[in-house]
Amino acid sequence: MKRRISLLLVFVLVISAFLTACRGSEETADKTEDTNDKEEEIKEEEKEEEEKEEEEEKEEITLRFSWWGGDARHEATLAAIERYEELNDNISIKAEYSGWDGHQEKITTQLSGGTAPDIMQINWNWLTIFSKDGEGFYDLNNLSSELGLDNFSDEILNFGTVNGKLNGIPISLTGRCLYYNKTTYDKFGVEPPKTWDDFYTVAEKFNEEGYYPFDLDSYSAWILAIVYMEQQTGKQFIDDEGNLVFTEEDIKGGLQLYKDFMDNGVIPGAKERAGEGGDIPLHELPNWIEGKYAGVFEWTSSVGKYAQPLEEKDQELILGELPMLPDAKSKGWVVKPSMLFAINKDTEHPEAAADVLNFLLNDPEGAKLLGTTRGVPISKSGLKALEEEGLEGLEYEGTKLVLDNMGLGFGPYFEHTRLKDIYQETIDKLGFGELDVDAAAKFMYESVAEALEEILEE
Amino acid sequence: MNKRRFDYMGLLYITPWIIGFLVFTLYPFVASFILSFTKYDILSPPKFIGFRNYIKMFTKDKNFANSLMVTFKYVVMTVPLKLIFALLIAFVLNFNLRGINFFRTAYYIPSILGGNVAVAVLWRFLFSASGGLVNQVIGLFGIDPVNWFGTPGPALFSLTLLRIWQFGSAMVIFLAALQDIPQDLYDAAAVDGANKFTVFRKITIPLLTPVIFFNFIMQLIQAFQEFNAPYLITGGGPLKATYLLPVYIYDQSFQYYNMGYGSALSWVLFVIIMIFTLLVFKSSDYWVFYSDVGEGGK
Amino acid sequence: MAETMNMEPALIESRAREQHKKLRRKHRINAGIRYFILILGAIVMLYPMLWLIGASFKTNSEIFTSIGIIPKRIDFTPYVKGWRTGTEYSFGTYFKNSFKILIPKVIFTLISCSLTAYGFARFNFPFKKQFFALLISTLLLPQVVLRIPTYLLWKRFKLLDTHASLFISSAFAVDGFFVFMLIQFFRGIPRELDESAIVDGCNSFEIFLWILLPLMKPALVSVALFQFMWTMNDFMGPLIYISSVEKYPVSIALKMSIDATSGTFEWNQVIAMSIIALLPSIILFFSAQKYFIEGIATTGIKG
Repeated sequence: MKRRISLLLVFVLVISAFLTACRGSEETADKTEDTNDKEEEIKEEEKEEEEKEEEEEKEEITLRFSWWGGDARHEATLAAIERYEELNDNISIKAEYSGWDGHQEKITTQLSGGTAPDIMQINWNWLTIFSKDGEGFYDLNNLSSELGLDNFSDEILNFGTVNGKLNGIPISLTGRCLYYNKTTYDKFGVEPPKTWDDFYTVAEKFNEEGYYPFDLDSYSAWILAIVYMEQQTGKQFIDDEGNLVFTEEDIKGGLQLYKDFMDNGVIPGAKERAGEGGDIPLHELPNWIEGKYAGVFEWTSSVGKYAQPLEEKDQELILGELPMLPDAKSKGWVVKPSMLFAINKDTEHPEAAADVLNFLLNDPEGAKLLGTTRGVPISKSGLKALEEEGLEGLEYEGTKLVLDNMGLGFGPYFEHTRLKDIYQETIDKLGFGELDVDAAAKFMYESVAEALEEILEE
Repeated sequence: MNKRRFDYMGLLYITPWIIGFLVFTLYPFVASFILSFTKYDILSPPKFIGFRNYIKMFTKDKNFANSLMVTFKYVVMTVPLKLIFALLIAFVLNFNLRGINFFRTAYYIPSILGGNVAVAVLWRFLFSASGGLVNQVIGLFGIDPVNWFGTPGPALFSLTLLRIWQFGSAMVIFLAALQDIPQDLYDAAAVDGANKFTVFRKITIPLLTPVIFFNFIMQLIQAFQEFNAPYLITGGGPLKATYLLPVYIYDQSFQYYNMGYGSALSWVLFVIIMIFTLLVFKSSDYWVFYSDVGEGGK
Repeated sequence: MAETMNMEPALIESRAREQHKKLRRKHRINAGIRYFILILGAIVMLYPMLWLIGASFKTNSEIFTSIGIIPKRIDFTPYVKGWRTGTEYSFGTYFKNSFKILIPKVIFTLISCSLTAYGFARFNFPFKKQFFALLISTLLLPQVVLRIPTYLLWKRFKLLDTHASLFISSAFAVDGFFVFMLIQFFRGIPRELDESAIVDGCNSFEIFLWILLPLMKPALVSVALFQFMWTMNDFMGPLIYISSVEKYPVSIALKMSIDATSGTFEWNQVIAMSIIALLPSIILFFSAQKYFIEGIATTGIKG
């Protein structure tokens, strides 16, 4: 009896599986037909649009809003959204957030599938990927009053502009700064470096006991190199349009700096550094936490990660000065938007989306709710609201310092992943002694030129 | 081989798979194949460029050549070591000792840990050049410390070790197969007075061959597609010595946004795996014994 | 023999006892060695797990500098805070979501893959070789280039942002790995069993259900275990197909607080939750052990 029943059960399961399967195959048959037929696809989309418009008549608007971040950002943003919904009861915001890992792939897939959220937090270098011609996102210039764009200087908005179209509003700026482990420097009775030459004198004292003035991963090494060379030559490495301005000789100068630093123990050697932890970030390495690598060249927005483990061990991380060549032709130090807000070019509700962003960026209440979870706001009224409450800390001070020492900037193409990989490969080859400075410069010059050509050609 | 009549019932049983294949698998496969002949940045429509991706790959792309070599090295190191290790442990765990369940679970735990957030941190503790556990252990045998992550060969080998440490799935399959060997056969052998080694050689191993074959194929495929270990631990370095082909494919597809080129790379990898798989399948006639074809199944 | 006969019975007995003792001692030493090796191995295998448990009570700096297991203090705040998360939902929701995907997926996989494998293993039908070649081929292409086309497919099925998108295809034996594995196990079972069942009047489905499946228990349990664990760990799939936070499974929730671009987070909370996330798999694996043993012992092989 039992057997019969279970036999029956399995049979039903199998059959129902077959039935759903048949339906499934019919569906694909339909679908495959219209894959070839773009017009139908458009019609379908129009239908969807109509549906959404009907919703609008009920005056109920739902906006999808996506971001990546950690707990603090999630909590603050959710609180701000809740407040906004209280103030605007016809608008509800669907928060689609996650950690950083995989977020870019997710957004890529959504953009390619036409299912991207209405409001997106984007990375600066995404503009060169998702919006090469400025058509990838909504042109925010059309929403300037809703967005309160007068809170942003032209210089700032320029960061988010592609081809004359404002694709994203910078939320905050971040700059590359030098931070030092004060505890270690105090131990040696040395002041942190102030000039380019100071590094070598500090290194001499530190090296005897296996300490280093600071650490450079291969990507940071190249950023420092172009800062140094910009001070020397007054040239941008790659300009805003994606042209390689540096000559092979200029690149060589930058690589030479890295080589000198390594050879003189200013930074740990590439082999030693890799041997410690493979691809593990510096702030997770014992040598950092125990103060042996006594400094870092990092984005101000990331400094918290470096400061936190040191605090746990009763050490102090302090902001260092930005070295300047005596006859610098350009100040050279780099700033970029840490992230931007963009609006989907296909959104049904651009005005509503703009209003949400206006609340988050410019409204004192919204800005206070978000705090500095996306960095120190760059919006004038947002910043004012926060400054009233008092702003301080390594990130804030650092960003201010870099802003005073800003050079020509490194342009949106500098951080294209493909180029980043080339910088890293070159620095690694130089660091591991596989190439000398001349060969490395040649390699980098040719690879970057080729990659840029291919990136721009698309 | 005697050719049996066609039995169309078989088609009925595999219907779920046929439907699944047509509905879920076919389209993405065909799409990626077509994309391999295009320039496609994912966001704008693909542009047909003929064989240019493939030509570039074999004539200009140094990364491809390097990644291919690294991948081969990795596969050659990983697959045999992992199989032997898994088989060995399966034998050890096949005894009916008290507490064996605990031990089986314990030995499987590394595989469950697989993609844990902290695996990279753990691996650093083991392999860091100064004070890593592995260096301390080999130091006991008088071996000089190795700069694991800072030297190309050892860095790749550390990934192999990670995968060997996660031998669990292969081990479980071996274990299941060992458990499936009918006790009658052992009993009969005992009556015939066969010694342990003969039983092992004449009964256990032949009956395990279908599963050894399966594990061999699957480990081969998985090793060729290894992505997580280099991605999480070495980032492809040092000097691209652990830059396995799947990592390069990922970079081209989702980092450089050359999905067309990424697809072409994938299809080349597909063909390479296909060739190896076919070779193993062909060889299986000589060494895999199937009970279902009766005696002389060679 | 002759010697024994001349001996006194008591002596014989004591000798036998002695020999027995020796044998037992040998056994015991054997078992001892075996246990010694097993325990040694288990320590190597378990150490990372123990380290993780210790790490869930440590501060960030301790985690990155100490390979020791014992934390400085035991304090369950990381577990409490980790469970609450920085999102609108607690881990309770995320676990529920994971199970909503896992349970149907495992069941579907078992049914569809065993049927398909049976078809391939026991029947001779037209294009069998070609079908099998296709089945294996589906395993050979890197998943990463299939991601976008597959996404578009789910969009067309209007199944984006549903749990169904993560398990439906399992009802159609799309996991070639499992089908291939089960085929190998089916082929390890002598055909005489089927033939004698046919004599008894069983049809092919009855043979499958009553004769072969019971013999396949260890293999089926392995399939279920693997599918469970792999689905539990799958990160990219859910991340791409599911956009609503309320539907996220555990694998995504674990990484919700990790922002590699900026911001700090407490590793101990993440590690604490990752331990909780491991528990279902470990418990399942442990309790499935009895089926490995049961496979042959209880069913036996009878025609």
